[in-house]
Amino acid sequence: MSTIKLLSSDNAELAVDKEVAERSILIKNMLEDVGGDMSDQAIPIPNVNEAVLRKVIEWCEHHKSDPPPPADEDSDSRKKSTDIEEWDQKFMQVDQEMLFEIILAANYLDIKPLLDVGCKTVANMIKGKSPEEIRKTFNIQNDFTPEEEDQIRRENEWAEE
Amino acid sequence: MGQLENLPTEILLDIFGLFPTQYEKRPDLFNLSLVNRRLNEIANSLLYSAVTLEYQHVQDFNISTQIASKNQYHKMNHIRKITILEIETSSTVEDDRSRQEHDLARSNNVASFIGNLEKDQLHSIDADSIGLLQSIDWSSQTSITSVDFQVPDHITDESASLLQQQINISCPNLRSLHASKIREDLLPILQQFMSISGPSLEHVELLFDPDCLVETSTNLDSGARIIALLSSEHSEECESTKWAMVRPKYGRLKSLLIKNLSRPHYLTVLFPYIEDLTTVQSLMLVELEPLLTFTAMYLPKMTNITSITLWTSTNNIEEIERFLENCSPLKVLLLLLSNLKAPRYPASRFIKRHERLRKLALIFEDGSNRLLYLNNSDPYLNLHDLKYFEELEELMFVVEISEMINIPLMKNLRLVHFFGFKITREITTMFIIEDSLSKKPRFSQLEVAIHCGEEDDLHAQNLPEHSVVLRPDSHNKFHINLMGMTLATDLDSIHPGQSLMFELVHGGMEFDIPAASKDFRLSLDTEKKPVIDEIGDYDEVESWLKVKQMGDLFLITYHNLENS
Repeated sequence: MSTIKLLSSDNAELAVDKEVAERSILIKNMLEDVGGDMSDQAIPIPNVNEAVLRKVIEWCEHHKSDPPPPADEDSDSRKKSTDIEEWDQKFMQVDQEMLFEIILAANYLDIKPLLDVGCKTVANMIKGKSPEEIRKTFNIQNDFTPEEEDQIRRENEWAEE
Repeated sequence: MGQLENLPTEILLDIFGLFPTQYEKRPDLFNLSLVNRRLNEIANSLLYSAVTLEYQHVQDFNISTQIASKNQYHKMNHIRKITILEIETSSTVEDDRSRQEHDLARSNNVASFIGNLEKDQLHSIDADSIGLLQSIDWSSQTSITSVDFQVPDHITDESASLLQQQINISCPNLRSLHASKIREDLLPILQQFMSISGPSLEHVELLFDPDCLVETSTNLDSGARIIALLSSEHSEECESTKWAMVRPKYGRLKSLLIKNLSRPHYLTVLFPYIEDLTTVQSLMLVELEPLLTFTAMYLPKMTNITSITLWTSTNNIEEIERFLENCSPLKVLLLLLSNLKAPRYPASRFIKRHERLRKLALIFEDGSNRLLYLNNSDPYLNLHDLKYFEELEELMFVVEISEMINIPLMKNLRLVHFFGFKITREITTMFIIEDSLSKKPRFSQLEVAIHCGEEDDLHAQNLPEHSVVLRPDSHNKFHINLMGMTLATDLDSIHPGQSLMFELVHGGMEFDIPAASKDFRLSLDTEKKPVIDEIGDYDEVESWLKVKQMGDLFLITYHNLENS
């Protein structure tokens, strides 16, 4: 099995199986563009640091044999639900900074299934929480005046449970 | 420093988009709209992306939407989908004249609402009446890609005729069309609609109304009339008829569903160029009277089909076999056939050639609605043949309990539906709790639904110890892991260390149940938290069931003092 090298934003060189790296559509397309031969040159990944890149590679290793997502009518509804496989749940048990870095890396590297898992993890962290609890969970500053907050509450009250 | 709010908008839309918007209540989006300005903006765009215009009373045309009722017109620019729904009016409209007045007023109201939207703002419209499509200024809403309409029950022959003359639907970018309760006298409208939208259409679902068929002997057979008009011998008449001038032509059609179509020549009306259907990948034919016409004429030309559903009555299994032998390799094959005169499964070689199948359903019934059981001694297809389908993810079939042990394990399987299941004795061997499978990495995604047999067979007797007893509910069904519905069962006992996985959409918590209390019912309702009735004494229990929520999954594990 051929190996390629990836160069993180903090100049760390990581060797990874080509098959694993090609879970990233960005890398896959890049390799196709250069005819597949990048054995002596590291591919720069300027937006992702070493720690995050290692996590992303760990995910790709675990999912390297996953079948491509089914193209039938159910796939969209599955994507819509917020269920996450047990392994992925454990994988995503990281601090928030790392979680968001993984999401951004998955978006940049074009690894849709990983991006989905990241989005679902965040959605599960939001689900069922009050506005104040969401602010507390994600350390968000409330920039509404009390009057504005009242108005939004009134306008959107139809959607409240 | 908070980072959620610093994510790019498209990612936040992906995350917030996971919260449902199809229901009236949208609590998570509501809460997000109150967090801060940035999240408010993104949550609002989803909160108001899909609105419903509800009509509650004949004389009351106030649109009870979230927006119009509160004068929040500035939020109208978020609207992408409109659903128009009439509730509780049919009983209050006494005669045809009041009905016509009512429909006209409603149409005007909808036209006014849509007229206030920005150009090309709408992406999707779902109307409960075909007549409402007249209200839309199609030239100002050219971005509509999805239309869903039905023919209302109250439409008369007169109003149908009026519709034929007046309606002028132009939707050049339409990708998805769903039409239901189609009457055959409205076929010309449908044909015209599809003529204009044909080149862009990707998904078409046509559900005809089986109760609104005109006798073939009458002159009202519009399908035959259209055929006549389309034929070269009637070219003059053809030119004089606006809807016959344009023939539907499709170049992008990916999925096609036809239900309750009664006459073969209607197919020729709607799909005159068989070659146009070569792009179709997914085909679903439900109760299609001219099934043989379709399989003989159309299917051989549809060389890109990877998914096919035939749900109909037929007495010709050989025809199905011929199709399976000649069609392109399938990934989805759903055969739900009834009224079979000489009931049998297709010979295995016809199905085995589709070795990349991901979804397989085989539900066959004879003329007396008796299910045909799949077993190991069947000379045609048998249970061992399932092992050829290594990529199978979903399986729906009819099997006896005693045959379950012969079902090969498939590593990608995540959904199994058992039909005709008769609970007469223990079902411990059911593979949903077998250790060998529970160790498989994809086990947590396995969903099993059991559709039971006759009423008399429902009560299990002489159950051995340590079996999992599944009793059906009042609807004659027992569902494990069924999303969106109530799940209720009795768990008499499970082996220590064994577990069952349930999946639900909402609610849940972690709790223990004393297993010593034999007579309890655990109800897991998707809308509420789990409820346990008749819980026994918690003191000094030696064994218990642990119910733990893991995301949307419930893990139910049996423990006792010894193994814990």
